[in-house]
Amino acid sequence: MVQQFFQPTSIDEARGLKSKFGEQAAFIGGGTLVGPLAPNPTVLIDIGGLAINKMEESEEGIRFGAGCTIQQLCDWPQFFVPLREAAKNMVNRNIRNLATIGGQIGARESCGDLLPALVAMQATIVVVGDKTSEISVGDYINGSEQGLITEVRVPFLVERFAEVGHYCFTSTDRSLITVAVSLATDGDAIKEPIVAIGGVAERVIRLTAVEEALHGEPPPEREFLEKLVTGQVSPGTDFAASAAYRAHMAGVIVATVLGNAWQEAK
Amino acid sequence: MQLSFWLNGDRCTFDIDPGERLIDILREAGLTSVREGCDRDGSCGACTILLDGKAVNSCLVRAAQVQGRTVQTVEHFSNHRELSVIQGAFLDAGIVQCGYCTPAMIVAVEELLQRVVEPTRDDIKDALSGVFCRCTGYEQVFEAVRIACRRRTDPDYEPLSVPEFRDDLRVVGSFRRKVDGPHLVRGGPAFVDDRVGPNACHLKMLRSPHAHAYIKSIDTSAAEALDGVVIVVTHKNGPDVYYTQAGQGFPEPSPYDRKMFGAKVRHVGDRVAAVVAETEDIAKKALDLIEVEYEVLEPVLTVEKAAEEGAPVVHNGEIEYVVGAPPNLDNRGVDPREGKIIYQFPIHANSRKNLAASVDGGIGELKKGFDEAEVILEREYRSSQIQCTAVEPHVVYTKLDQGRLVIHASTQVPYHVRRIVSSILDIPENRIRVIKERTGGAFGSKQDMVLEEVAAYCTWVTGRDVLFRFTREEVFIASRTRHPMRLKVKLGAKKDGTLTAIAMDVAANTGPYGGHCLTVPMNACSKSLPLFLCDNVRFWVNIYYSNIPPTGAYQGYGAPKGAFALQLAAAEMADQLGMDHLEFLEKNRVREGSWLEILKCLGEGRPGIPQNVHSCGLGPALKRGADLISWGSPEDSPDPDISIGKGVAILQQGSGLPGLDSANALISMFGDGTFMLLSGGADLGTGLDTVTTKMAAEVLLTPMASISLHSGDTDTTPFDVGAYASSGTYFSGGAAFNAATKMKKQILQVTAEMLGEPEDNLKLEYPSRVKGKSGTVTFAEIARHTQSGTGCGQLVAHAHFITDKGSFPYGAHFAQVAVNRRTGHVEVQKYFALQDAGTPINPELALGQIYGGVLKTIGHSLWEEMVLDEKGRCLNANLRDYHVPRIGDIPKEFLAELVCTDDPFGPFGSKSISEAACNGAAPAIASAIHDAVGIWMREWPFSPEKILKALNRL
Repeated sequence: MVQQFFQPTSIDEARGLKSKFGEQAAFIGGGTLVGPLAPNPTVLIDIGGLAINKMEESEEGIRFGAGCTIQQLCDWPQFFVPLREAAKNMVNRNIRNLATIGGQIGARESCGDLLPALVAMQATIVVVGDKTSEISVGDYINGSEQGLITEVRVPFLVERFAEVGHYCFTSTDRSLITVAVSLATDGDAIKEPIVAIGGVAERVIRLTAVEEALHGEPPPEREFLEKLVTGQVSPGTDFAASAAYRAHMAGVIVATVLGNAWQEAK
Repeated sequence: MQLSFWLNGDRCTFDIDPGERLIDILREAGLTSVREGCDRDGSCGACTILLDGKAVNSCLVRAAQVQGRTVQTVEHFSNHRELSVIQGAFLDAGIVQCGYCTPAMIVAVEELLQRVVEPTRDDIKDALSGVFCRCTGYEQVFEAVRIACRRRTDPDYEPLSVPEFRDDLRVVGSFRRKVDGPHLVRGGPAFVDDRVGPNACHLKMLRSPHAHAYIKSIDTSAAEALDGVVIVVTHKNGPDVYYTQAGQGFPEPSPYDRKMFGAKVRHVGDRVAAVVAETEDIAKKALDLIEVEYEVLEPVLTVEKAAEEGAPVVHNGEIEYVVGAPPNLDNRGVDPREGKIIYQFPIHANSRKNLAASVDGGIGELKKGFDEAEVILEREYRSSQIQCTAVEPHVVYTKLDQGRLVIHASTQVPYHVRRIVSSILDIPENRIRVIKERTGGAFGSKQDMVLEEVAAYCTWVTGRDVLFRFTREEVFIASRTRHPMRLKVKLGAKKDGTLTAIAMDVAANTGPYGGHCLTVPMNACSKSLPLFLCDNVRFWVNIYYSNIPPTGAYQGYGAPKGAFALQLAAAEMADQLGMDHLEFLEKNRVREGSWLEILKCLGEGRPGIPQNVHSCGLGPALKRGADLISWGSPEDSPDPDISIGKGVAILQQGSGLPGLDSANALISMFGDGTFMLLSGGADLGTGLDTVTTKMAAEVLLTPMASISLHSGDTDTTPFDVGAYASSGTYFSGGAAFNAATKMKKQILQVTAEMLGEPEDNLKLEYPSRVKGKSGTVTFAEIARHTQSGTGCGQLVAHAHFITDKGSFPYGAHFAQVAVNRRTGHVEVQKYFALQDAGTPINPELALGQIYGGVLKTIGHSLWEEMVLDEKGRCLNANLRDYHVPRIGDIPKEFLAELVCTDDPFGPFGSKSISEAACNGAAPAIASAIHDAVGIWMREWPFSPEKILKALNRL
């Protein structure tokens, strides 16, 4: 049960409160994912007063505050198209109106729709803990960093192309599988692909073996790629789907998304 | 903490607790439009508000987060009695049913229209993506938005989108705003939660973690010692009365196989102990202090396991019969912890072998029929356990009023609740008042008394007000669900398609208790077999106890499962014969004038009544549907992975239970010639109150506004069995029709006396007057005359409605699906539902009932299923994981149409409407899938994984 609610007005103050209360405390933005972030917190630290919701374009790319809601980002014309598509896979508009991008990253959910896209687009985040650091989203979600995310930075794709895809049963279900692929091209070959996928492991992962197999090669036959991906993932069985189906769908969605990215590149 | 923000235009200040949710602040402020249906995980959206102009779930927002900000609820948008444009448009499109989620939908549309001038269908889907509605099927909301947009520039715009029927009548068959609609769109107090007093105690239930176990010991002393705990009830101190929770007419076919608390638990979530405490938090803490030791038994989860020789026995206690005990009844050596079962009359059970009930019957000679067949087909079909998921969880509020027990209930059966509670508490019915509040969706799950009696008992014992509200998880594991069934169908046919024999063998899983155990599975036969004219028919129905979560009634009762099996078997037979499916249906279907002999053996625990079919709209429904979907014209897919197919199913239901159901109404004339109509009917959001009002207005040729209605209150309205078995329009509407007809007769008698003319000279004229040869008398003048010192007294007319005549609503549903061979995904692209409801009393609401029934069963067919583990625990007991369809899941082309027929028995030729709508989706979609990719899906849900397996792709 929540016993204290703080509304700090500076990042330092917020960080100090988190240091003081430790695991009892959770940052709260939109409040849609407080549970995954911290089960049963007794202290809530509202980041709404930290003014971390600016969105801006720079020479390197775009940057936006972690307090931006998903809908704000969807409505921002400079928001990159693949990111917008991934964001809209969070179909529930009420949730998009509340949920913040910082919360989505911080929750590190396996099927967080934006996470594969951020990984594939080589996004970084600014995390304020004992010190302030900029780390890649991929490293963050597979690490244990507990600091406050304040900003997200996504570089322009320079001669790279990104696509996203996902599968869910009903329109507002959590995604069963969520995928993003970015790649460059070298003639008729794929160059330096990034294949990020959610729904097949505890966190969003990159399929590095698949990336290596694709690099320097022309796009493989769809069925080949499906089998390649299926063999590289080890999802579990749960109430929603068997491991075999998730693995199959991982292959199908990756193959589809990679095909789309290749078409985009060409 | 101090909180100050702008609420509906006013600066408001509150004292709040840290972490308190905004929804709680708003409800404490009296804003009843903000509602809760999902345990605050954001999945239902019934609490949607505008925060700084954005639609958000107020259950997810901490109150402190809105400091200095602007909050708007639906109450902001209507100006006292004047509705907003959107509120009015919602009523005029017929999108309002139970009204529980309506304020949330309206708020979401308000936000939409503030940012988009002419929203597209996709814009509307996006705007409403956060709001879950189980009643309406969403389709009419697009029309509501269109009307609202149009009225921005043309405030007087009158839409012509609602079809109208029966030119000879004034209000019946024509659009009129739902009588309770304005209150519902304003979000006014209407539901149980809105009646709770400030001093109400909270009841929380300790539930079994085991599917099958004895309670070896239970220690409640620490809980009872906790400050603020009022009472703890367990099997040790609860009432020693056996009963059924099923709300059925007495004597019920359902066995009395449970007490309020037993020494044996029979499902995960079964009752162990109830705690009543001053606050919800104290009640929860007290639950944690109760120590229970279980002797865990092996659970039985399937009908196959239940029927096995030597299987664990779910009910192995003493057996009693009120009448008809078999001579060999043997109760020696039973374990008292098992409790007992009392049968009101034999239902062919053998609880020692987990057989809860059984029935079989038939007509003709089955062997002869199969001998005559040139093609024989045998198939097995299965349905899964489905949750009703009304947006309003089960809830009850009980209190004492001058020594009488008052039960504010969200129920379909207020009079059955009164009777059963009276029996359990051993107090006469006149000491109990049940007030049926607006129900926030019911669909059958509120036909049973799943929590009312516990709260009532606690109030009666302690004298305290008690609120008992299920969590969403409790709704899943402790309310009511569709029975899982295994249905074997065997068909024999000539090569020309003529059916020669039909056999149905149904095995149903009733779960831990036997509410509706005979009648739901039996309906799988009684609402499907009469669709085909076949001389040789036989059925067997066996129902087994098990340890799955409780089952019971769900819209359609057993019919959706029987329809799935028999209609799909018919599709398979047509395919095997190489015959067009529509042609096969046309050759064998029921039609006007058909004699349904089979019904003689399909009564509900009693002999059935064979019926003649006096009206049947199947012919025009099939023709219209075939035209709409371009039957016989294959559709090409631009995507090579996707194949498109079309399917059809015919369907029927009943209109109440002839010979079993009864309804009453009473109408009295007021001093100005207006009327008060008291109806026992229970409007679940279906529009029944509008039906009964229209009945009276039509008969009396008076404006609907001249009739006020009160319904579903056991103190003030006359008896009605309640809203189930599609009885509302036929029975409750019939009672209102009969009462108004009696009132009309009294009016004519009095007028004859006033004018000195014979009654034959007189006739009623609209509005509210009687014309004779010598003059005209208004109802107001009649009222003054009768209520004067020399008059005959206030005109009051009571009538009831019973019948032994059945009226059957029919329909034909057509589906077009796109099946993705790589993903297994099935998209329902088009769905056309053509239904014969006799004379549609409220056309717009009837269409809404169809849309809602269809979308529910699209969900059942494709996605929904309660998934249990090997210990009987439900793994997806919440709205986030259960896969209920939302607005984004409706077919791209979704159309319901009414086929008007004139039935001789229902009031103004009406028949029932909503339940029938649940019977077409599964077989129509399954046969469309076969048409697309050549596989027969014989088990709900047709999940992508099952599709791929059937395609040998997984």
